[in-house]
Amino acid sequence: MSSPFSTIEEFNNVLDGPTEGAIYTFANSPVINIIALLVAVGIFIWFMVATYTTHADPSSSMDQSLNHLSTFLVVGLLSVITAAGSYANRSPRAEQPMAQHKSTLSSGYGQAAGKIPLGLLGMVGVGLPSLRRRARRKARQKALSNFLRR
Amino acid sequence: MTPESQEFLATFVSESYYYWASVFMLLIHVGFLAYEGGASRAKNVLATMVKNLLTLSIIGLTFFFFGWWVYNAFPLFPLTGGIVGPWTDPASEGVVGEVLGLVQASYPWSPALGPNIADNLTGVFFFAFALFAMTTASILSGAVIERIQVGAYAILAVVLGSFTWVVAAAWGWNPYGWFLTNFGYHDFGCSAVLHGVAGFFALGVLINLGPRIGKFDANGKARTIMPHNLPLTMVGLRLIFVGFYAFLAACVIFVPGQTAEITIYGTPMTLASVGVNTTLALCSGIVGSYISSKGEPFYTISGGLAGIISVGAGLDLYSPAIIILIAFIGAYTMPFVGAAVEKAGIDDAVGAFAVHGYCGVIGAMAVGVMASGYPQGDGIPLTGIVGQFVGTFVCTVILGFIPGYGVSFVLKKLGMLRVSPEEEISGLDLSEYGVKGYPEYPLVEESGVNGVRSPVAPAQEMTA
Repeated sequence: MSSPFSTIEEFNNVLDGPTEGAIYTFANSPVINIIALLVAVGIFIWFMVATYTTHADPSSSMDQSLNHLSTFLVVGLLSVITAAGSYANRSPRAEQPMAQHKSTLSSGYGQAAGKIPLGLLGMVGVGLPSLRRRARRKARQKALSNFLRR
Repeated sequence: MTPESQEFLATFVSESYYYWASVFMLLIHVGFLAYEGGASRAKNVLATMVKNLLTLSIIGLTFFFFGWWVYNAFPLFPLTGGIVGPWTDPASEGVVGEVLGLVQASYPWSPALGPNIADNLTGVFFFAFALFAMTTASILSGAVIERIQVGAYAILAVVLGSFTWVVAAAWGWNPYGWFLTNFGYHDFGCSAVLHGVAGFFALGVLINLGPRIGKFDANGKARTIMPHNLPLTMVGLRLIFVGFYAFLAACVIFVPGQTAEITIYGTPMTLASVGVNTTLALCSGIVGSYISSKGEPFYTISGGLAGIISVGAGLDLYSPAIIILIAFIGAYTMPFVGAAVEKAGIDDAVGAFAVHGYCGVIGAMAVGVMASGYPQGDGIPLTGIVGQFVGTFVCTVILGFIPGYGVSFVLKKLGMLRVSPEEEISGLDLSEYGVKGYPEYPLVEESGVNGVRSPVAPAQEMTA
């Protein structure tokens, strides 16, 4: 849940609540919004780089750019946020006494386990561009060594 | 200041707020006019702009005749009650009684809509809603340029702008609507309720209308028909951006007696968040579509709108950082949807489906993922993916695509949908109005790329 409120009374009386008036998503889990902000900055840097590399090229259709690994970067980072958000919203439950909420806790772990693939997808997404860079580097090194051998 | 004057001041603030927000919303229509006019070819510019202009009249009048009543009469139908109207028992109590009070103020003969110092607000809300309705129909206007009959467009605009969209608003953008009361649907900026309905309606019409002559070659491969005035198109979209700030501001509810600004669903919000989040969505949307379309000007400028629509439903709830991400995703993927529509043989001249239909769906569904769990009242389900899906599906398919396809299919069978090929080739300006949009520049001649007509520079005329 991204809402900091669970009842309409909490929502309507938000000034007296723990978020002190903030009603936005994840207001009770600032770390999520900080991660989202970092991703947003990353996107902006990507855009700045793209302005140097974007040129009219009628021969390449837009569909080809879907294959670009930058897409994985965005999807990956967003899935990390989603998984992190789920974890952050689950954590208050885990702080409750275990004896009273054993079943809740175990089901919470079950939910967290369900989010693991999402998180992994995110990490893979983040990692893919670096793998690609590594592959390019290897290819460049190979080409260079071939050139020097001549 | 006396208590009476204080009370009147609150009324005047509310009245003025919606009045001026609605006036600024007219900039959306100035923008659509420039956008469509620029996107058309020179031989169709007058016909395109006049058709767009007629939208105001067609919707303004029909919304007064029955659209405003539909909005107030349909919220309970069919899940929680019937359609409320003159046949409803005047002594009704409870929710029906409350709805009946609004319905009685929405009849075209209602004293509330005339000059009446006992009611300063009903008229100004009508004004705002009429502008919403005109915006909805204008979305269709751009998609069908250069080949639709004006009469067919008028009929389709009435169905969309004064009925199906209004039903969607009654169900999904109304404190009594069953999308909210039964499913916890939340769509602050009308992502699916307005844009989704209009985009999918346009898609249904485009399937029957068919592409412009010359849009596809014999093998079905799409050709680019360039706007005759891309700078005008860009200026148009910038004006639409301005109008959208007003549109979203008009979605905030503040009436005398309230102690805070609220959404139509009764949840607290701030006007400031509309300013911050709309700005960020606009910026992020342009960045997203710039990257994904490789700087293609038409998609890049449309990306701003795509970004705003992608976050519209949860604009009152998202944190700014989340806004940037959702707007980016919506606008980044929008050009691919536009390309896919074209690949399917559908000629959407201004990308209406991709920008409004697709991003409308993204916007409404994003609430279920990124703004889930928000309470909206006692006995009302929390915001969530199921409620958003139900509302989005009904808006886009039941109230958007099916009516658009159905009405245009009937018009097509009656031969009332599309102009003749001869008229289309000679240009609608000449066939409909007998004059050219640029009489002193004999621009349009057949110039040779695969039979596609394109403007020819007047240099020879000038030097001759």
